[in-house]
Amino acid sequence: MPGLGTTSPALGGYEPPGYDELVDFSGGARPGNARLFEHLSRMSFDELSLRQRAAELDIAANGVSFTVYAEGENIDRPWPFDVVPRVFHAREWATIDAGLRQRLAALNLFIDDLYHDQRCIREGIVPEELVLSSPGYRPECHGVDPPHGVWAHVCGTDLVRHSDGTVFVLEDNLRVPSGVSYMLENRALTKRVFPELFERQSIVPVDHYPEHLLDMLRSLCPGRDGRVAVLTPGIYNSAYFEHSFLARQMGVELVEGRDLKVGPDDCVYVRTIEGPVRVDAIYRRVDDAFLDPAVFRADSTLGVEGIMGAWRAGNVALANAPGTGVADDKVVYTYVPDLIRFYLAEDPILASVPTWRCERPAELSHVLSHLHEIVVKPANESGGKDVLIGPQADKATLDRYRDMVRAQPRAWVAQPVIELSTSPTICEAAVEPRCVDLRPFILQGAGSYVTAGGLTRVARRRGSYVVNSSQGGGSKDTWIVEERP
Amino acid sequence: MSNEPILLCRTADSLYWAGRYLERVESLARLITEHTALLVDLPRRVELTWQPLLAIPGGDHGFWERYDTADEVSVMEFLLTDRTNECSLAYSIDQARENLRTVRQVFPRTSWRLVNELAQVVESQGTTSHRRGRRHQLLERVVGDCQRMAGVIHDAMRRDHAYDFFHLGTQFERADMTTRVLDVRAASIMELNDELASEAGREEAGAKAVFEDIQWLGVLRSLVGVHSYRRSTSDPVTGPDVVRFLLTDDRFPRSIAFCLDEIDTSLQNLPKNLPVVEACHDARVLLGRVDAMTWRAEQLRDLADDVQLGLAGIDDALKATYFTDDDILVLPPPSSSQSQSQSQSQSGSNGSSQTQSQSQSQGRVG
Repeated sequence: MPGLGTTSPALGGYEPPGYDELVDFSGGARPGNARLFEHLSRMSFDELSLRQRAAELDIAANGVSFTVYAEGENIDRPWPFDVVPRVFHAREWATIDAGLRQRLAALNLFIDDLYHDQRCIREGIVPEELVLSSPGYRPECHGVDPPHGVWAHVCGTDLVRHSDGTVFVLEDNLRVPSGVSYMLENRALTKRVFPELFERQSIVPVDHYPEHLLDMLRSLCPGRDGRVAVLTPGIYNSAYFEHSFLARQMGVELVEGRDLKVGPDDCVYVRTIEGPVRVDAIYRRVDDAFLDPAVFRADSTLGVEGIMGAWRAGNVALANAPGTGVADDKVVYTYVPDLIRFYLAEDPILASVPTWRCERPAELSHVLSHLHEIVVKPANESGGKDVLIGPQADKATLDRYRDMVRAQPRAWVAQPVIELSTSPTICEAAVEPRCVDLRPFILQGAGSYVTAGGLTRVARRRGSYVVNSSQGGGSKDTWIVEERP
Repeated sequence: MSNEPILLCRTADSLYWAGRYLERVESLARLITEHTALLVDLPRRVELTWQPLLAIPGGDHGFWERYDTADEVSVMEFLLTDRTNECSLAYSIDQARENLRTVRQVFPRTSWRLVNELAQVVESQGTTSHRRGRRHQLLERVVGDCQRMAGVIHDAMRRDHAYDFFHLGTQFERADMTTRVLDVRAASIMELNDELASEAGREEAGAKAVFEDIQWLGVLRSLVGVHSYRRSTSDPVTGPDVVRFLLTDDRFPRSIAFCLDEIDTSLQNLPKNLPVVEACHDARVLLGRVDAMTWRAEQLRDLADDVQLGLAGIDDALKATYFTDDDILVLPPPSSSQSQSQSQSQSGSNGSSQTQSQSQSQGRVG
């Protein structure tokens, strides 16, 4: 590379093992990636590393952090970020966007149906025992009519791309999905440390999200001037940064359980210096189980006693509504394509990963005999917890999982290994391919909204499929690029 | 009226303490800088040591539990980087940061960035600053960053109740620091005077007077007051004038009168303010006693003690009026070991900082 010093080029020796988000199989740029590819090709690794270093300093100075709970301690870690963005062409994204809205619409109809007439059970779409055995199913929610019939207002859906280029939905997170603040921070960071990338190309902005979130929350209030608050478990929660960030961006109060109180009138009040003030909609980032010690876990100090009653009486909106967890059960996941056809009379736009339901004897025996070549997941965990990746596990681990799955088949599902696509990532001495996924966020209230891209998460080690931040994964800015032919 | 922001009791509490801790960081850094400079100016026989630096912020008791001699390196280690010392710079920055962390949604983003950077600078350079060579640079940075933060807040923060509570914390801490300097430094200069006057000859008294000037200037300088003092009077620097200035000059931003007036002004914006306004008024009235003083050390100490109690009254009234709201929530049982000033009983922090109290202030109350 003339004129760029003696150091090695940033993309020199970059050889992805399978499907890569930046380069295609012939070594050229994929659609939407042309300018990024061109720029990286002209850059030296040292220059790129300098940008990476600048981003890390910026993160430390701004206190962008997430909390990891390890060895009995809360450790506040700087947010891990890789400066090389991950790009989608706008045309492909339009399809994904529509697919995500379709999926959430169907899931909301499903939840509303479950807590009312249960048509889906009566008409044989989902088996009754499956729903009733889901830990996310809350009988307390029966007969409640949340505004617009919507239960899951904020959804974080994990997408992955297989080696053949197909984008699959890996899972739906309908409880308290996190990550959206990091999506916004990542964009702000990229603009600061890589400003020239934004010249001469059209990258769809992401920073409207807080406004859309606020609009959605306001659409749940009885009047247009309702008071909205974000409910956080507190500063020791791993996503506290995000709770505070979103409250700040929306200009609403960030409250903890102890700041709230349900009055004798079944309305929710917040303690202020002027006395109690009524709250109309709460974006709660506290799990169902901790929400109301009078209804769920009595030992919860994070929740608000009586809030379920206030919600059932329609005096406060909760986003997401209690009981949505039933729809992010990974066994329910396997029925989503059927649910889309049933409620919307449409074909699913996005593919789901074929999944074995271990509670069915035939599928269980297949899973048990193929454990070493498939992925096994707990049906009701998040954050990549307890996921077995068969081909990467030793014999002892496989044996342990075999016993666990056999003991509680309903608690497990299994899927073929998806060979996650890679994206160029700055490593110690070179840019190397690392596996990525994507978590876009979908809002549904009176209307619906999908983030322009989302949070791309990246595995730390070569060949690893583990992208969760809680397990050492990093992140990238995600671009939707409108590339003219 | 949902457009006007509400302020949570918990947020008000954190803002108040963020204001206090940030002010404490700045005043402590300045105190150390000026004390170091003063030591250089004074001859050995004027027995000024590092000990006043321990006494002013109020941690001398804790110091003697861990150290044998109050030499420069030990005192600096204790005051700059010892996180078990609740008066140290590092501890105060940590507390300012932890309080700000919970109020980021109402605070200018740049200030958060600055306090983060400051915490990192003290973390990385603190230990190399126990000796004099590198210390000045660090402390200058600390004071400068605090001033930048104050500037950002002054220019960018909306003047709503969130600002009021932050401002209350700042002004409270400022009044508190001035009281402590009067109590420890000013009173000891007066005391030394009393002693020297009784036994020394005329010649020595003349020489001593020069050093007395330097000491009084040192007192003013540690409160950024030299220039303001000069503008307030054309007379030479004398003890009584300096004391009067620091107590009652209502145009000097670090005088106790000025800080109490600022507290009163902020209180006027707040609802349900009567008990706190009354406590503030009670403290303000005490300052009138300066007119009847005959300039003996003991009198000054008594007055400083009473002003400290007056400040504690304001702090208690704030806590009872705004930070705890009994009528809608059942509160945890109150902690029994609360002492006046420089202590934080904050429900949001972890267990170890539930109640921080300082031996000196407790000693003085008793």
